[in-house]
Amino acid sequence: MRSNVGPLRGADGNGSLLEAVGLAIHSRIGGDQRTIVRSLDLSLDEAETVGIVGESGSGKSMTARALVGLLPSGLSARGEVRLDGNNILDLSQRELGRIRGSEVALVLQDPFTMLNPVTRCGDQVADGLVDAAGRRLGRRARREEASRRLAEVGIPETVDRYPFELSGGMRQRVAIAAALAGDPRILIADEPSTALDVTTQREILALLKSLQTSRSMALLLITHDLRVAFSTCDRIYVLYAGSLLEVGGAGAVEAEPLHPYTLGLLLSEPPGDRRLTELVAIPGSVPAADDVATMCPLAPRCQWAQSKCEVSHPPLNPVADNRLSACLRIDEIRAEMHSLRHNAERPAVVHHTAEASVPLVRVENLEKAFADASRRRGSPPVIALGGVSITVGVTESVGLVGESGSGKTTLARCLVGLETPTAGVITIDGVDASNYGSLSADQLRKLRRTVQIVFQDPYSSLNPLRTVGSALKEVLELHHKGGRNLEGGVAELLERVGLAASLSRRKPVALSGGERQRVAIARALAVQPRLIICDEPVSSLDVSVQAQILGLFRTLRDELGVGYLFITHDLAVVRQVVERVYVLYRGEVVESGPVETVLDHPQHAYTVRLVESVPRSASQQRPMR
Amino acid sequence: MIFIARRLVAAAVLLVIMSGAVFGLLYASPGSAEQVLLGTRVANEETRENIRQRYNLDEPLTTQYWLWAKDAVRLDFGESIRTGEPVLNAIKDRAQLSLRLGAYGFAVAFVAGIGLGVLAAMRNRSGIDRAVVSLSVVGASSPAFVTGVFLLYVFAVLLGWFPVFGQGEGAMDQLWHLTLPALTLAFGAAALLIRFTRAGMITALDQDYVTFARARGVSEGRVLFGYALRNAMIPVVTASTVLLAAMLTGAVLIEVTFALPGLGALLVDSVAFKDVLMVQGLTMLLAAVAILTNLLTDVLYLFADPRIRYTRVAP
Ligand SMILES: Nc1ncnc2c1ncn2[C@@H]1O[C@H](COP(=O)(O)OP(=O)(O)O)[C@@H](O)[C@H]1O
Ligand code: SF4
Ligand SMILES: [Mg+2]
Repeated sequence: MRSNVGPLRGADGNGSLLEAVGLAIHSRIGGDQRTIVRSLDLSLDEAETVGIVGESGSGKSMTARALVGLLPSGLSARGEVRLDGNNILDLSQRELGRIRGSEVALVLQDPFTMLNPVTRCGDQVADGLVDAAGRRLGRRARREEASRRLAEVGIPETVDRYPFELSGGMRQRVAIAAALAGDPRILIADEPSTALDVTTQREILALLKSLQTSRSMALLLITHDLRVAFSTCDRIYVLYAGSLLEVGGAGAVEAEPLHPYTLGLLLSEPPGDRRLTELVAIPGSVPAADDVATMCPLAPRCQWAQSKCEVSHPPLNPVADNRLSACLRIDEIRAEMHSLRHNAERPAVVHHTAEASVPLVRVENLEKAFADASRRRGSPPVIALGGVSITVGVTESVGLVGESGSGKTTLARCLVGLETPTAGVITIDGVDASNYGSLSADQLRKLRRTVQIVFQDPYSSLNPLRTVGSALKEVLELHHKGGRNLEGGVAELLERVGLAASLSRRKPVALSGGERQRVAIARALAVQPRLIICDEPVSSLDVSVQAQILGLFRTLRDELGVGYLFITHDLAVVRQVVERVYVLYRGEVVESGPVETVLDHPQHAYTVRLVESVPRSASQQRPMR
Repeated sequence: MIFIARRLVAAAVLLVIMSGAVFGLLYASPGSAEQVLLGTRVANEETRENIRQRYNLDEPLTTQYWLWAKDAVRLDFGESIRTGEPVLNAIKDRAQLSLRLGAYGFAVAFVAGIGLGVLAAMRNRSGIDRAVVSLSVVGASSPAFVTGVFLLYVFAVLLGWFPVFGQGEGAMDQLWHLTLPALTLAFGAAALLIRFTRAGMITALDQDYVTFARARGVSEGRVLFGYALRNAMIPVVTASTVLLAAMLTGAVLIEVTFALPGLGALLVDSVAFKDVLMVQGLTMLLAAVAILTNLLTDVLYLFADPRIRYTRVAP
């Protein structure tokens, strides 16, 4: 398929700096081949900022890696990636090594795993430095230059530091400095702000933007967040299940998305100021690219789909000035989409469970001090929890909000016995669970069946060596659930959380973030618990996936009557799920009450600050974030 | 540095406990202490009295231990029952050869083990990888004397490339004589090192920091050694205690197999002759070496992983 990017190219009409034509990426695991990216055309001009936006699993990261010739093993790319008259896909690793760093550099997604843990930051930046002749610099010169480069990203003091001594935001800065060490003309940044907290996110994006301007470098920004793309990029590519669905200028797309998927993404962002009746703006889940190869990829999920949408793969077509859309019906449905966007955000009424209901979990004056936590020498013990009391009623959903380090996770871990409290009492369904070590096997089993936990990072909580199916089967077997038909039990669990049964053969590494979190939820559901503790369960997910998982939490609640202790830093999220909320600050509950009361009329200074930091919903059209 | 201080204390405590056990060997041996120390000498009243005097057998047990330990700190373990030669002298005579064998073997194991481990990881799932893994399986499961006899038969007897026994004269000749024993010693250790290195490298090569290093044009050599191997070595350092144990036990058998008059051979002879004093000296020495290596491993680990340096508690 020849490119349609022609009309969208920069005004000078010169060839692009970087251009992908018909880029296709396939994976081969065992015998079967999967399409990851179908056929993608993309161009990046000098000093331009281009965004690739899409949900997790849409192929953004693999596209980014293909562009620098660094696909993981098992994946291969076809097509063309033109840079300086070369086709990147044809070059040897040795030739690529010369291009990477000096022409194009890629910053990966996760600042916490991207840096070498045993090497000082200055040295890591210096590793990419070369002199005019392309040789490695001398020891002295390296250090000086590394300091200068780290100063460029605002943290010169980290030159002798190890990554583990730095916060996520600082690590991301080090990574950016390292990526820029060879002065590339193109920087590809894969979700540079996703793993960071809200305020840091803004700083990193601002830094990237300013570096891009001062170095007049081209920036390819990969993000799941449309609003980030709107505020940072000149042009936007919307990727879905390995296909581009919409391409256009950032301002134009923001003013009026011309593909139902882009609209859906926009509407998926939960607003902080009200609870929505309906959370899932785009129902269902992202299909595998191969499953939608002969139709519009959105067809299974699109409310405007007609039979003509299901007979062939719609190409990207010009639909307006400098706008491309892969929707066949865009002219017919444009007005309808417009009005949908305006009606979308109706507030819902929160149904409170009778508050006097029997408490399932009661926590009284819980204290936890980490005497020997991994802190610098000489510091006093860290008080993670300083006398916290909360209750969670039967079938009730309760939120626990606070910034990172406020003790939320410690409380959760105490509840499930991963941590033993220093003082205080935990009662779960009548069992004293203050000290898991002193419980009988029967009591432990009972607790496990009552309370389950889902962590923020679904990847680290799933065994990377086991398939999804065998992990679920094990839990079913252990708790004698699912009867004799374990396969059926697994399929049912997967279906409950909105996953295809065929996914049970995959290992966690081959799942997207949303899929992994669904698997983690399925595993928690396997024992049919009465309460699920969710520790930041959606904070690492894309907005639309987040909306889906939040929807899933609501559905499970309605269908199974399971309650939640929902831990999050995100007030917009907590508002969608719980009835009551506790605000935790430095190990103490500073405020609690019905969720609307607390969020609409915060009393404590800290709660006020939290409420103010909530990003507005997209439909409120805040110009910059 | 609290970490190191703690480990030092632990090592000292361990050493004291070991010394108690070693001292106890005298009483654990069949027969009275006096008879044991007498060995094959004529048992008249005079010699008996001499022995009682020399080894303080009339003192209470604690005093005996105290006096023994005081001597042991000065490396005085008494005289060999068999030869009458001071134990320390006998050990000194033999230690050189063992040390050379150990160093030679360790060097070979280190280079081959890590080199092959890295190679196998880089060519993961290729023919080379499978060959290296098979080699390490053989190495880890064949006892040192079997390897020794096999190498002896093939390279010394059949091919005649290497001498069958003895230690040779002059540096080159000695090296030549020590090659087969060192290879034997290295085989098992290299097998372990291959496993650890290969696993560590495969994991490390898959990490984001390796991809990111490549994504910004860091040279492949630096990526392999500065990034991947540097991280892969952390678990290897931790495992080197296992390695040492394997090499120590291997060395004893190898010296006997190749008829090398080293410490291992001395230990075996001394046990056979019930030369308790010699055995005491040797075991005390070996225990001290083992404990010190352990300590060294901990310190190395500290350098290998900066994250540990900043935490108060050992992982
Ligand atoms: N190492 C891998 N091997 C096989 N499939 C993979 C691998 N990594 C990712 N995938 C698959 O590729 C698809 C796209 O993933 P990715 O590019 O990471 O998406 P995104 O960055 O948009 O979230 C997903 O379906 C994922 O399951
Ligand atoms: S082509 Fe059809 S299914 Fe696809 S987005 Fe347009 S209306 Fe929906
Ligand atoms: Mg990604």
